[in-house]
Parts: sequence; C-alpha cells; structure tokens
Amino acid sequence: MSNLEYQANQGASLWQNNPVLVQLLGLSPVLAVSNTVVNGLGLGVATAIVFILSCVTASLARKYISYTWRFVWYLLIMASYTTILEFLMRAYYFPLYQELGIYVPLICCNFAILIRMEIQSSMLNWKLTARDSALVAAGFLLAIVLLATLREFVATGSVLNDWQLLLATPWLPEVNQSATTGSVIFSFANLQPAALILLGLIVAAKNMLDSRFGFGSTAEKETVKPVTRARVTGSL
Amino acid sequence: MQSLAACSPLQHSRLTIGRIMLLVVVACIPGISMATWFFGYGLIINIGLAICVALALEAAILTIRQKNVRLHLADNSALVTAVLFGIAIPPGCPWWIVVIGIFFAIVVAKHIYGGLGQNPFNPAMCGYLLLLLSFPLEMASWYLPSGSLLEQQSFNPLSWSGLQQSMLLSMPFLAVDSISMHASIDGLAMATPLAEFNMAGKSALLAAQESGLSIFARTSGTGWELVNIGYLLGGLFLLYRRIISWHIPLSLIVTVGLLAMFFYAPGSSAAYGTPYLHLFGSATMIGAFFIATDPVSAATTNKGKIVYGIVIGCAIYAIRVWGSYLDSIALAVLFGNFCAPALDHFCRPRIYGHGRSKELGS
Repeated sequence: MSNLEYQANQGASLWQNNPVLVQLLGLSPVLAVSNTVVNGLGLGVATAIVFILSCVTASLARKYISYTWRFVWYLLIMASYTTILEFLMRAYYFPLYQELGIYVPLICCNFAILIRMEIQSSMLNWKLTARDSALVAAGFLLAIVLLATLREFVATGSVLNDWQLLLATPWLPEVNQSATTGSVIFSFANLQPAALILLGLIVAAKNMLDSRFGFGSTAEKETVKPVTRARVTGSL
Repeated sequence: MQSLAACSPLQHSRLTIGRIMLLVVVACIPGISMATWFFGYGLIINIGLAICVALALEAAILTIRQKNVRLHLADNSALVTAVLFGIAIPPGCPWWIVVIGIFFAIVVAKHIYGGLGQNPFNPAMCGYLLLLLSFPLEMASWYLPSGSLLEQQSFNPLSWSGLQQSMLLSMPFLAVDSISMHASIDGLAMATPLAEFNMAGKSALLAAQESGLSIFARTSGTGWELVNIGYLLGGLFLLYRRIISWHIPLSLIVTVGLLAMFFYAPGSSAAYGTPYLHLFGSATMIGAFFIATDPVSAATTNKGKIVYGIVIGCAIYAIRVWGSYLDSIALAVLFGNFCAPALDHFCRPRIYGHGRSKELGS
C-alpha cells in the first residue's frame, strides 16, 4: 500500500484529520459564514453535497482524466456541481442564498475538496471514495456548525435564529421570508477576527484533548528519528 | 546556552521589569490627576476596577499555566496594562465593559500569545479596540466637564472642575434638582475634542460654539490641554529616567504635527483641525509616550523606532482625518505593531566588524 493510498484509507476521520481543525483548509468560507448557525449549516451542507458528488465523479472518471491536467478537470467537476447547487438554492432557498452571498459560488474554490479529490479519487474506487469524502465533509460540517454555534451564542445570546430559512421555499411561511436582524449583544463575535480567534481556541482545545486524554492515540504515532549525520568533518 | 563574555567592571542595574513598569505607572499620575480634576473621578473608578480584575486574571492564568505566580505578578505588567486601559475607556461606563476588555487584554492578547515578552500587540489597546468594535455606543459616551457646557456669562469657579461630574456619578438621584445644570445640553458624546471635530460634524460643532461652548478655547476650562501636558510631563520623566528612548515619541509627535500643519488650510474650511488641536486636543501625548513605546510590541532598533514612530504618526493622522473612528491611537498603534517585525528586519544595526566591506578594505 503506497503512502498516498494509506493516507486515503486512514486519513479520513472526523477527529484526527478534520479538514478545518487539523488541516486548516477551506478557511475563508468557515471564517466568513460561521456567524450564525443557519448560515453555517446552509453552507456546510452545500459544501458537503458538492464534496461527495465531486469526489465520486472524479473517482468514476479517473481513467479518463489525464494526470497532467487533473486539477483542471477537478475544478471543472467542482464548478459544475457548484453551479447546479447554486441554481437549486436560488430556486428553493432564495433567502438563505441571499444570506450566504458570494460564498455559495466560492464552494468550487474550496481547497479542502480539491486536496481530497487529489488524494483519494485517483486511488480508490467510488464506494470507498464516497465513504471517505462523506466522513471528511461531515468533519467540515461539524467544525463549521460548532464554530457558528459558539459565535452566534456569544454575539446574540441565542442559537439557531432564523431557522425558517432552512426550510425550502414551498414550506416557508411567506411572512418570514427574509432574515430578521436580531439584536446583537456582542458584535465583535460577528466579525471575522473573532472567528479566527475562536478557531484558534478550538484547535488549541482539540490539541489539548489529544495530548492529555489521548484521543489521538489511535492514529499512528510516528517516532521522529534523531537526525544522524552522514559525515562529520571535525568536531562541532 | 553560551555564557556571555563580560569583562570585569560589572555593575548590577537595579532596573528590573517590575520597577520599570512601576515607573511607567508613576509617570501616568500627572495626566490621570489632571483628567480626574476636570472630568470627575469616574476615571479613577475605571482604573481601580481594571487593576483589580487584571491582577486577578493574571494570577489565575499564571496558575493555569503553572508559572510562579508571585514572581510574574511582581513584574507589574498587568498593572500597566490595566492603567492604560482604564485611561482609554470612558469614565462612568458599565463595569462589565471594563471586565470584558481587561479579560481580552490579559487573557487573549497577552497570555494566549505566550505572556509578557511574547505578545505581538499592545494588550491594553487590543482590549480597548475589542470594546470599541463591540460596544460603540458605550465607548462613545464621554462627558464634557460641566464648565464647558455652561453659558459663558454664568461663570462658576466650581463648575470648571470635575466636581459636578463626580457628584453626578455618585449621587445620580440628586442630578436634576440640587446640582442645577444651567445649559440645555447636558453632555456631548466625545473621546476628545478632536473626535467631535471629525465626527459630529463641523456644522453641529460650530453651532455649539456659537451658543457659548468653549471646547477649543486655548484658555479653556475643558482641561484637555492640561491633561495632555500632564502626560507630556510624565513622558519627559520617563525619558529622563531612560525608561523609554526619544526615538518613538519624537518621530511620532513630529509626524503628526507636520501632517496637521500640511493639511491645515487656514482661512478656508479648516476642516482638518489645527496642529494644536491634533497635538493637545487629543490623545496624542499619551499615545506617543506611553502606548507606542511599549517595549514588547514596538520596534527595537533605533532606526526602526524612528520609522515606527513615523508609521504610527501617519496612521494616527490618516485615521483621524479620513477615517470614521473616534481617536485613532489604538488602531494606529496596532498597525505599527504589525509593522514592527518588518522594521526590525530591515533596520538592523551594523554589527561591529561586519558590513561596509569597501571601507574595511576586504
């Protein structure tokens, strides 16, 4: 089993290889849209859908994708699914789409997806790819929702405001079609620097849990070999 | 670790970090007492509360980080942070605002980055900016000394001091009746006169001045000049004791003064304010001597310090005149802190025996 294949098999995990908390990938939507739980949930689910579909497609089509131009193909696949999703959101989730703004089209620039496609899609068959990408996408979703929950609670004192935006338009009561502007208690938490600080704190807490309680112990611990000098000229 | 090669006439410098920090606090006293006299003792309450919370938080964090609490508390850095923070926020603001700001300053801006000596940004200004971004209304509620609100003709010596403000603060139920407020306006939201000049609009201010407000009068009872002179004296004391070097304050003040002179258009609208207003009607002095000279987050080389002062001075003037924030010291100093590592990198002093290879003839 090659190193890349090993990574593809073992690396997909909610905890040890979380795309947001460990790899720190795809941070711009995470930081920008995690101000409310509804936004975070909306973008997280959208990203997860594009994530899984793109990975499976790339895996199915891997025989036809030339190695040299693979990133172009990957981007094209992601962009097509993003476009479809964007149109669907416009049709059924228009208020939510307005809330998310530019970050829906920007899903196709999410590097967490691209790097995952690169790692697994060229190696695995589509079933394993679907399982792995679902795990990674769930990790992304959980991280963004966790961040959004904390931020929304600190900023407004409530959680899951405007939940009606998560209903598709046919079921949405016409009165509540736009997002309410709730009273903000601590508006710094609504700004992106707060998201960055909070993300840093969450990563620190995760690392502390890993090191203190051994949550990360199932991961293969590589013992760092001391560097041995090949040739020593004289004493140092 | 390599031992330092030192040669024999050795003298122990008695300046420990704790002593330096204590001297900084002492140097703040003239300015603080002036401000208390003119604006009431809300400032003292702020500073006292900030000190208590800061020391408690510092001790708690040091315990969590398993450091020697007594040793690290004695370096007084939390004390300086608390004092500068207490000066920056408006007197009479709610207590929880002070607590939130100090928490951010001590815990996030200082200890999460690794404690004293590791923080890339000035902790007091980080806490202040957090409050400015989060609670703009509370942070903008500065009160003028009541003297400047009275009509010019009804002059009352007591009212020029902050005594009325203090009494209002401690006995709010007496406010309307026994301490009569003569003026129809009972307060203006401002951090410094400069902020009012910039924000509340030139027209409103001119109208207020016509109706007898003396915010900018040079002989004013508003006290801003005297407060700034108090901080200037404190800064000169620090210079005299060689706690700070002259590079940062001088270049900062000169930059602000020159820019204010350059953009001041006398005779026309004079919209940007006089150089005098920029230097003495604002927080420039405390910023130049106490905040920008924070030894941890400022540039360290002498050349770097001069550029650092110029950068902060330009930022102060630009944000004041073309920006929309109250006073710009905090933002400008944080901007300077961003630049400080680069300045240190590009302004390295020449090491003796290295460089100038042509002159050395090698």
